[in-house]
This record gives sequence, C-alpha cells and structure tokens, in this order.
Amino acid sequence: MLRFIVRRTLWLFLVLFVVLLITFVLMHLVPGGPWDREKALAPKVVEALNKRYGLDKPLWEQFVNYIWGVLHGDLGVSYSYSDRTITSILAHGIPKTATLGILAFIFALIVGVPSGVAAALKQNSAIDYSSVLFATIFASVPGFVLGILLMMIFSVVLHWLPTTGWGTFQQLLMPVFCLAALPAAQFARITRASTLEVIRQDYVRTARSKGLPESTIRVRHIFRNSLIPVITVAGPELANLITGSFIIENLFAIPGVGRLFVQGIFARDYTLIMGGILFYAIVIAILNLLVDILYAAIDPRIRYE
Amino acid sequence: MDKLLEVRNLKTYFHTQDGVVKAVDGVSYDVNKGETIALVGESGCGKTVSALSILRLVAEPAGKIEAGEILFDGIDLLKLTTEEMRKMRGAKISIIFQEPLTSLNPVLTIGRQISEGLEFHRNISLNEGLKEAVRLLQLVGIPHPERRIYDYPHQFSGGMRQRAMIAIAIACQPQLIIADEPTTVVDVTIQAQLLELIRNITKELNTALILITHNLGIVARYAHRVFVMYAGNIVERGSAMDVYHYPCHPYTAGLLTSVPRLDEPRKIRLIPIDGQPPDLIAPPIGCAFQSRCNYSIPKCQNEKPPLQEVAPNHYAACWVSQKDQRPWQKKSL
Repeated sequence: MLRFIVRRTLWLFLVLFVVLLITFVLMHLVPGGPWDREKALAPKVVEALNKRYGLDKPLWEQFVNYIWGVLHGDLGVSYSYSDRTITSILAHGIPKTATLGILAFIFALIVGVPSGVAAALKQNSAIDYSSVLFATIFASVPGFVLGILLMMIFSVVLHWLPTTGWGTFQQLLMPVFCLAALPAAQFARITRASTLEVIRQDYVRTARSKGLPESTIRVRHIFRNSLIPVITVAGPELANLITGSFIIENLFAIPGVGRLFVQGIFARDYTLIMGGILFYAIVIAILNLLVDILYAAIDPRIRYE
Repeated sequence: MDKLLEVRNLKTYFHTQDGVVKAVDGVSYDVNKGETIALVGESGCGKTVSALSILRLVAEPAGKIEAGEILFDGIDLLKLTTEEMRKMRGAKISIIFQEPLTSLNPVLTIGRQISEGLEFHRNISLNEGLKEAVRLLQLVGIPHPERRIYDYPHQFSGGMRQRAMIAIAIACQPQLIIADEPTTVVDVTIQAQLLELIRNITKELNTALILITHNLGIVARYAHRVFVMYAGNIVERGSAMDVYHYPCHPYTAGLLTSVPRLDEPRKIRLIPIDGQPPDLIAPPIGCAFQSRCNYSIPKCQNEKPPLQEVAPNHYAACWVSQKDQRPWQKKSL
C-alpha cells in the first residue's frame, strides 16, 4: 500500500507537468492577449509590457521559465492585478473557497446519503417519493436561480440573512446551501440506487438467515457495500467544490478563487490561469488518490500491487 | 418418530405486475427429528420458495405467505413476531444457499461471517466467536483455519466457500438445516465431498435436513424420504428407495430417465421431459403435468388429482397411478 502511494505521488508530478503543458499551449492558441483593451494600447506600450513580463521570448522559453519558477515555488506575477504575485492571490482566495467547498461537501453528504438510504429502505413509500422529488428539483435548478430565490426569501422578505459578503456565519449559510444542493441530490440518487441493489443481494438474505438484528444487517452488510459507488463520485465532487464556483462566488460577492480564475481567463492573465489550473490539478489528483485508498480500505477485493 | 417440522397446506404467492404467481400452492410436508428429507423438482417448481417460507425469508413485498401452517416443534412459525422469528433463524433453523460466492458478503472476513450469528444467539464476544469459527472451519475440513478466518470470500475457492457456508449453517447447532441445491455450482468431485460432509455433520449433531435438489441420484443416496414437487404442488412422496425404484408419478419417472445412471448400460439414451412447466399465474384446471405426460387419460384434463396413497406409505397425485397402473415403471426399469 505504501509503495502504491509513493508511486502514485511520483506519477502526480508527471501528470501536473502534462496538465501545465497542455494548458500553456491551449492558452496561447486562444486569440487575444493580456494587453487587449477596448481602446488599443500604443504598440510601444505593448512592446514594453511584453518585455517586462518576458512575453517577448519564444514560447518554449517562456514555458521553461515558468516551470523553473514553479519548481522554486514562484508562480509568477499577475498581469491584471498589478504587483500581486499569483501565490499571494491564491493564498488569499483558497482558504475562503475551500471553507465554502468543504462545508458544502459535508452538508451534501449529511443530507444526501441518509435520504438516499431512507428512500431505498422504504422503497415506493412517501419518504422515497419525496426524497426522489427533492433530489430531482435540486439537481435541475441552477445554482444562480436557487441563490437568487434564497436571497429574495431570507434577505429581502424575511431580513434573516445578509445577501452577500464574507466573514460571518450568517453570510456562509446561503452560499453553502446553494453549492451543496446539486451534490446532495447526486449523493441521494446514487446512494438510493446502490442501496436498492445491495438490498437484493444474496448475502443480505444470508445475513437475515443468521437471525441478525435488522440494525446490524443494515450497518454491517448493506451500507458497507452500498457506499462504495458513493465514494466514487464523492472524490471528484469534493474537488469540484473545493476549487470553487464562479457563479456562487460572484452572486454572493465572496472573494474566493473560483471567481478569480474565470476573470483571469477573460483577461488572458496567463500566470493566473496557470496557477489556477495547477491548483485544480493538485486537488483533483490528491482526492483521486484518497478515493483509491478508501476503496482498498472498504473493499478487500481491491489491492494495489 | 418425533415430528420436528410440519408444513401444512402452505401457499406462497408472488404478486407481480402480470398477476399472482402461485409458486407454492398448498404444499404439505414434514420432517422428523434427525431425518433427511428431499424436495425434488425442476427449476421454478416451488421447492426453494417452500423452503424459504419456513424461515420467512421470501422476498417481500412481492412474495407473501398466503395460507398454511408451519409447525416447528409445535410452534407455528407464521404466528411468531418478527423478533421471535429472528431468534429462530440461525439458532434453530439455518440454511445453506446455492451460490456460495454471492451468498457471502464480499467485504467481511470469513471468520466474522461465521461468528456473527454466534455472537447474537449465544451472546458472546467477537473473540470467542472467532475461536468457535476456527473450530467450525476445522470441522468442515478447511486447512489452517486459524489463518483462514481472516480471509475474505474471494480468497476461497468455490468448494471452500460452500464449506464456509456449511460452517455458518451449523454454527449454532440448529435442529433443522435447509440445504438449497448446495452442490449445484461446484464441480462433480467436490459435490460428493460436500454432500458426505453435510451428511456426516447432520448425523453427528442429530440435525434434521431438508435437501433441495433436482438430482434424484443424490436423493436416493442421502435422503430418507422424498417429496417430488411440480408446479407448486407435491405430486409424489414416499421413502427414497420406493420413489427411486418404483416411481408412482410419471413426472418422477421422467426425472429419473432424464439423468444418467451408472448402474445401467451406457447404450440407453437419456429421455428428456418435453415441453415447459405450466404458467403458475393461470395453472391448468386439471393435472398440471398433463400436457407433458405420455400417459394422460381424459380425466387428467378436467380434474386435479389429489395426493393419495397408492402403495403403503407411498403417495402420488396421479389419476393413472391411482388406478394401479404404472406403465412408466416397466419402461424405466
């Protein structure tokens, strides 16, 4: 197992390199550049800027320089937020985005998994139908619609919560809920489907034939097996939540990284795009590794050697 | 002899979208203490459902026991509460399923799966349960049981898994074991070993056994009495030897001629039973076997034959047989 983790970690560096290379190439293939404005800058100014940021050098050299910098912990300087390093931008944004994402993930798990289990155990009951109904609603209503609806109800009409901003517990509630709605619905659906499948398995009948109490059958025989598919989707879902949402962060005016990245792409802020992609890739790779480790812990048939 | 189990007029139906499937439609059988009986019949004849009904493990809500009594040691199991029934399962009555791979939980160790029933019925700790699991695995012939209890089902071969299932079934020393085609999925050499094992263990513990099978050859060797099932009904019952040598129902005779026998010259061709079993949603009015029977008489179409004694302690549900005519016997012997 340890060897597997070490090997995967080494692989991670190669994956990150390839991801950065592809991003770099795509980024420069896209028309436009960081100095494009509605009112074009004077050619002399553009030339000076290119020289200052090293954009006058051949692309391969730019890439080598960038990778060299990354290896030394230097992600470069932002073009649109002048005088700010990418490292400091990320250091400011990531904690906020990650807090939001982790809270939303926990909320989605706490709501989604038990309601999926309850729906499956009481298939075709009122619990089942309402769980499926809510899952369908939350899976289909877009986050920005949900966010505006919540704002109208809780801020405009009831005056319970502030509409936007960052820093207090009250300001967290609505964005966390908006972020959690879709993953909670997905967890509920997957948990329901996999639990329904496990319930019909022969080994559950065997467990019953031993005269075990129903609670033991559920916890030991059903859940351990039905949670395996949930882990599969939970990993990428957590990565998605941690890396932030442009729409939700914009809507609730949260200074997180999700918003920054999208703005960076529009501004052709090359270093910000690369920094953002690097962050995404690291989070996704680490969570995939975690999922694989969890698999082996929960399912003895999986061994990585 | 003391009756351990008496099933009276059991009806287990499945409510499906196409209608009510009468999987078991008025079946009665009994098992004496320490006795081995066999339930015989082809796939879908209701033998498994009638045995699962004893443990009340028929898949709900589709499957439902509609009528009948299942007396175990004088207690009607169908009248017990869920909790009382739970205490019966595994402790007094246990079952060995057909598919040892899917019947064992893939994420729990073999030891755990053997010990968990003991932990609940005997109120012992996991450690004591595992010690007992070692002893049980030894008993069913698994080498190095002290190491093997930590294995998972996928690390066991098919035959070993079925041995582990047997260990689970005998763990609490039940009075009755149901073996539902325990050897169908393992190869022939292992089949004989497993059946011998089951027989020796039941003999040693004086446990009664219901052996569910479609192989009459197994029946003749291991069972005391036989109940032949067809389309949800018992069509013939008698001692294993009587049924094997003097089948009194043409269906039983058909089953016998459709399996190879070592005591006959190899020149004799196997004779399959043509046709399909009847639709259990709308069973025919008369004898259910009539459409596949070579010996049917007009009466078979209109009236369902009851199970009647046709020879001492030998019962058959067949109009022809009840007239003391058994043309199939001459043919098969």
